[in-house]
Amino acid sequence: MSDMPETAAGTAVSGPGALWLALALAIGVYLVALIEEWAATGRVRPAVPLLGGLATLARESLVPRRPDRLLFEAAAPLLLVAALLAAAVLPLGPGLVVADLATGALFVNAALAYVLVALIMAGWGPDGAYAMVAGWRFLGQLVAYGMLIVMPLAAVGMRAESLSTVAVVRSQAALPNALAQPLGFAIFWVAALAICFLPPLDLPVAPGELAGGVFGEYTGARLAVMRLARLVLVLTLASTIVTFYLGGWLGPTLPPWAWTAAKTLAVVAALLVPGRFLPRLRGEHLLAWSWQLGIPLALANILWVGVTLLLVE
Amino acid sequence: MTGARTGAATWLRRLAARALARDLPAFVAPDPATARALGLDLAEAGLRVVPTPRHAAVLVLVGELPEGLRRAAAVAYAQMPRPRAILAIGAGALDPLPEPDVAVPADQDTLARGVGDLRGILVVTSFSPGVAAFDAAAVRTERRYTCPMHPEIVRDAPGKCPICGMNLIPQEEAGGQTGHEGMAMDHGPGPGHGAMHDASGGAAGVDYTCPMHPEVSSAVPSSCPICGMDLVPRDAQVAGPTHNPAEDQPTEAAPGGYTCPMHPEVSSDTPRSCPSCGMDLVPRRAPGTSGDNRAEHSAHTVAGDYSCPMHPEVTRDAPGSCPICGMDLVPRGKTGGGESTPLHSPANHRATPADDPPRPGGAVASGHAGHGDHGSASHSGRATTTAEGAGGVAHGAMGHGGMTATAPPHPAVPAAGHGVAVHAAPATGGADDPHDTPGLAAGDMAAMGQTTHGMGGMAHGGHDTGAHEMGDAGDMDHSMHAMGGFMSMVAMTRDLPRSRDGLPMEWAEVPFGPLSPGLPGGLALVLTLDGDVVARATRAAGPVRRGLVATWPGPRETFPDRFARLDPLTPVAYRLLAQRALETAAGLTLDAREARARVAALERERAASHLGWLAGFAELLGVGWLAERSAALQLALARAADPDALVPLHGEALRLAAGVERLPLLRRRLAAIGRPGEAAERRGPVARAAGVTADARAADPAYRALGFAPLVREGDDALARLLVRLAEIGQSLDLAIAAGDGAAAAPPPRHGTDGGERGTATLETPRGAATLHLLLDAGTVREAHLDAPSGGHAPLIAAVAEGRELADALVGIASLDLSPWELDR
Repeated sequence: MSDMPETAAGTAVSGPGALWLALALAIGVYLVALIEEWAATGRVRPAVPLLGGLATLARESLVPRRPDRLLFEAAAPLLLVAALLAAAVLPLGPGLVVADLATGALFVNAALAYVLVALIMAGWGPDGAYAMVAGWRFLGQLVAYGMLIVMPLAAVGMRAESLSTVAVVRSQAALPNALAQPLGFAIFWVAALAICFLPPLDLPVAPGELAGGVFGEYTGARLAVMRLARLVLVLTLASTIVTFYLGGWLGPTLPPWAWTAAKTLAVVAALLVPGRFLPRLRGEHLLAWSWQLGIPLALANILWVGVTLLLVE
Repeated sequence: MTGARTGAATWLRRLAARALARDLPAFVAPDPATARALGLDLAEAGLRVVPTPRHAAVLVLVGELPEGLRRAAAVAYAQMPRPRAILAIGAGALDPLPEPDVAVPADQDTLARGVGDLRGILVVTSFSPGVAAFDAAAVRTERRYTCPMHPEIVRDAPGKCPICGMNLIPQEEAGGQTGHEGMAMDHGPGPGHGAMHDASGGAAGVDYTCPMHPEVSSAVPSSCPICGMDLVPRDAQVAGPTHNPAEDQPTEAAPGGYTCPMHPEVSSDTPRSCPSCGMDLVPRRAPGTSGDNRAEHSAHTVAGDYSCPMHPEVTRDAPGSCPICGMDLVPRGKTGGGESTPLHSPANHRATPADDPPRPGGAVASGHAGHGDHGSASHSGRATTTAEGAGGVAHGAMGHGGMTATAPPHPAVPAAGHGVAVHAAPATGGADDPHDTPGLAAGDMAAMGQTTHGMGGMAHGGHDTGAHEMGDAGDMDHSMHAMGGFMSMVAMTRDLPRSRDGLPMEWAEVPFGPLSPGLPGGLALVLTLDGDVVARATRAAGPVRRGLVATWPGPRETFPDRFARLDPLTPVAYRLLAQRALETAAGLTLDAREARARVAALERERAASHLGWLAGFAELLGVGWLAERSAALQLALARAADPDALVPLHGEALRLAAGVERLPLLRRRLAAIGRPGEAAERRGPVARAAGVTADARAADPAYRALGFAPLVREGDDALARLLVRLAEIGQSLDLAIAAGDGAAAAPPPRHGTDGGERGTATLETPRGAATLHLLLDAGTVREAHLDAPSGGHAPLIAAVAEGRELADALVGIASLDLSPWELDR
C-alpha cells in the first residue's frame, strides 16, 4: 500500500482500498454478528451467524398486502448503501481508504442522513401501523441526535484543521481525541448509538413494544438485507468512532490494520453491551436531554477545543 | 409438513434446509411466561423466542388455548414466512390451526426431544413441490369498495358511486382477530393465498351479526366467533361495514327519519332524493348521522365567526382565507372547546363494565378521553389559542355528532359542550357513532394513495365525521374532489381531529394483542393512535373467553378443580379461594398446619406470578438483562420441588431486586407513568403501590402468625408497582419458606358434608383481592359470583393510557398486571 498524501484533494477513489474495505466489512460483519449474540446470550457460537443468515435467506420473502412497493423494496438497500458510503471514507490504515475526501467528516454525516430516509421508508412502505409508528419515531430520534453528530465532528475538524478522515487520524498522533475532547467523545458516542438505533435508543425497533418495528414486516431475503445493513451500520459507526476519536490505525508494535480492527471490535462490543442493562429511553427524554443538555455541552466542547488549540499552539 | 415452502429439493435447498433446522426462531402463544409457569425452558430446548410471527419459523402453542386465541394464533401462523412449523406443547384442540408438526406434553425432556424431531422434519420436508395453502376463516380477508361519502354504498368491484360519482375506495376487513393486527396481514401474491381476498360473507335469512364482522351471521344472539363481541340484530347495521364496533343498540329511523347527507334541513319520512341537490336521502339514525352532525354544529356555531386555525386573532364574518398565512378560515364555535371541562372527569370514562363489550355510553365517554387535556391547566388559562381553536374543531368532529334532538344543544350545557350529561347518556343521545360516516378527509387520503393503516378503511372512518361539519366549505371540498381537483394539505387535514399540539392527524385504530410481546398473552387492546399518542384505549373482549362461568354450577366436590381453570397462571389461588368459600359455607375451620401449607402454596404462586410479570415488563422496557434474570428465576421456581430449594431462590430474588434498584435510567423511565387518577379503584399491588395497605392477607390468622405485614410504596405509578412487586417476590418466598412443608404438594381439598346455603371468601391473589360468593344447595353449587381483581383494574386501561405517548401507555397498562383470563371468563 503506497502512502496517500496527507490530505487528499478531490475525490480520487482507491481501487485497492475498496477491495480491502470489502474484505474488512465481510469479516467485520460476521464478527459484529458474533459479538451481538454474545452480548445478548453470553455465548459465542461461530456457526450461528452463518446458519441464521442462510436460514433467513431460505424463508419466503413476503410482500405485505398493500405495500407502497417502491418504499418497501428500496428501504433495505438504501440502508445498506448509506452505511457503505459512510464506510468508504473511513481509513483502515495509512493509505487504506476508498476515498479520502477533503470533506470526509461531512460526507460521513451526509451519508448517515440516509439512515433516516431508509427507516422512514421501511416504516411507511409495508402499510402496517407498528412499522409506521416506528419509522416516525426515528424521525424524532434524528431531531435529537442530528446536532450531536455534527457539532463534535466540527471540534474534531478544528483540531485536525481538516475534514479529511485521514488528516483527522494523523492529528491524533500525540493524543487521541477521546482524551483531548472527552466531552465531544461522549456526545458522539450517544449520537452513534442513536444512529444505529441500538438499545437503549432502539425506539424504531422496540421489540417488546412494536414487535420489531421497522423490521417487523420484512421476511426472507429482504429481512436478510435489512439485518446485513444494520450490521454494516453498527460496524461503520464503530469505525467512525475509532477514526475520529480513538486514533484510527495509530498504535505501537501492531500493524496499522490490526489496530483499526482491534479498536473497532472493542467499540462494537462497547456499543452493544450496555443496552442490556438500560431501559429504552422515552422519546421525549431523549429529545429533552439532547437539546437542553447535549447541545450546550457540544458547544462547550467546541469552546474547550478552541481554547486548547489556541493555548497549545 | 403443512408449512413447507414450494420448491423441488435441489442441492442448494437441501443445504438451506439444514440451516433452517438449526435456526428455530419461535413465536409463542399465548406467551413465554405461560411456558415458564409449566416449567418449560424454550431456549434450553433450542427455540429462540422472537417478538413477531414475521420473523418466526415455529409457532409454539403452550397449553390449552381458548378458541379466540387459537384464531389469533392462526392469523399469526398465516403471517409467518414458509417453511413454517407448529409445535404444540400440552395443547388440546387446535382448530382452525392445521395439525401440529410436533405435539408434546408439557415436560422439558419431551419438549427437547420434540424440538429434535422438528429439526429432522425441517431437514427433510422444508421444501416440497406441492404445498396446500393454509386457508381458514380466521385469516380470510375480504375487500369491498365503498364510497368515501356514502358508506351505505358497498360494491364488490371498484367503480363510481351511483350517488355522487366519486371513485369507490377499497375497504378491507380482516376476517380474524389477528395476532399481530397492527401488521398488514397476509401474504399477498404468495401461492394459494390469493383466494383469501375473494371470500365474501353474509348469508341471508339470519338475524344476528357482529358489528365488526358483517360476514358473521347467527340465528341466535351469541358472541362473534372472530372477535368475541356480542352479536347485534342485523337490522341495526344501517351503515354497513363501517359500523361502529361500540354500537350494540339497534337504532331505528325516527319519523322524518330520512335526510340528505349534504342538506340536513331536508327531512322526509320516506327515502327519496333531496330537493336541493338530488342526492338520495339517507336514514337519519337517532344518533349521529351526518345530517344530524351538521344540524347540531350549525346550531352552536355562531354565525359570522370564522377564524384562522393558526391565527385566532383573525376573525371574519364569512369564510375566506387568513390574511396572515393564507389558510382557509374555519368556523369557530362559541363553545370553543378549550374552556375548562368540570364535568369531564376521568371517572366518567370508566362507565363500561369490565366484562361486557363496550356500550354506547362507554364509547362516548372514551371517545372524549383523548380530549380531556383541553381542560388541563395549560389550556384553560387562555381564552382562545391556536390549539384550542383546533381542539374545538376536533371536538365538533368527534363527539357532538351523537347529539340528537333529545339531547340539549351545546349552549345549554354549561361546560362548553363537554358535559357528561350529554355524552354519557345513551338513552337519549345513543351511541356517538364515529364510524357511521367515514369522512371526506379519510376518503381523500385513501384515494390519493395514502395508506390506511391497521384494519383498512375501518380504522380511519371512525374519526372523520367532522367532514360534514364544515358546512358549505365541506361541500366545496366534496365537489372539488369529485372533479378530481387539487386539494391542499390544509384542506385535506382541516377536518381531521386535532392532537394536543393542534396538529391534524389521521387517527388509526391499532390492535395490540392478544399475542403482543410485552403484554400478557390473551390481553387484546385497541389503541386509537393520534400520531404516537394514544387518544383512546379500549380492551377488545373475547380472545380467551371460554364460557367458564357456565361450568361453575355443579357438584361441590369438583368445584375447586373447575374453578381453578379460571386463570392458568394462578390456578392455586383460585383453587384455594373456591375451597375457602366452600368451607365458609360448611362452617369449617382449618387447622394451623393446613393453613400454613396453603400459605406456602399461595405465596409460591405469587412469587412466580410476579416474576412472570416482571419478565414481560422488562421485555416491554427493553431491559434484556432483567427479562432474562426474572424469566430464569420464574422457571427455577416452577421447577423447585421441595421447600429447601426455595432458600437459594429467595437469595437470588433479593439480589435481583437490589440489581433492579441499581439499574440506571429506570426510575426516570417509569416515574409518573400509569397514574390512573384519584377516583380509580385499586387492589393488590396496584393499591399497595399507591400507599394503601389493602391486603386481604392481613386479616388471615395464618399470615399474622408468620408476622406478615403488607408492603407499601408511594407513588401510584409504574415505578411504585415495580418496586412493590419486587419486594413482594422476596416477601412471598420468605413466607413460603417460613410456612414450611406442604408447599410443594397441593393441599388436600376439604369439603363440608352439610352446611349453609351461602359461602363467601376473599383471598389475596397475586393481582389483588378476589371475592367469591357461592350459593349452595344440597351439596351442589348453584351459583358462583366472582369479583376478580383484573375486573376492577380493567377500567384503568383508559385512565393510564389515554393522552399518553404509545410507549408510556403500554408501560402503564402493563404495570397493572391485568389477567385476560380473569376478564374473559
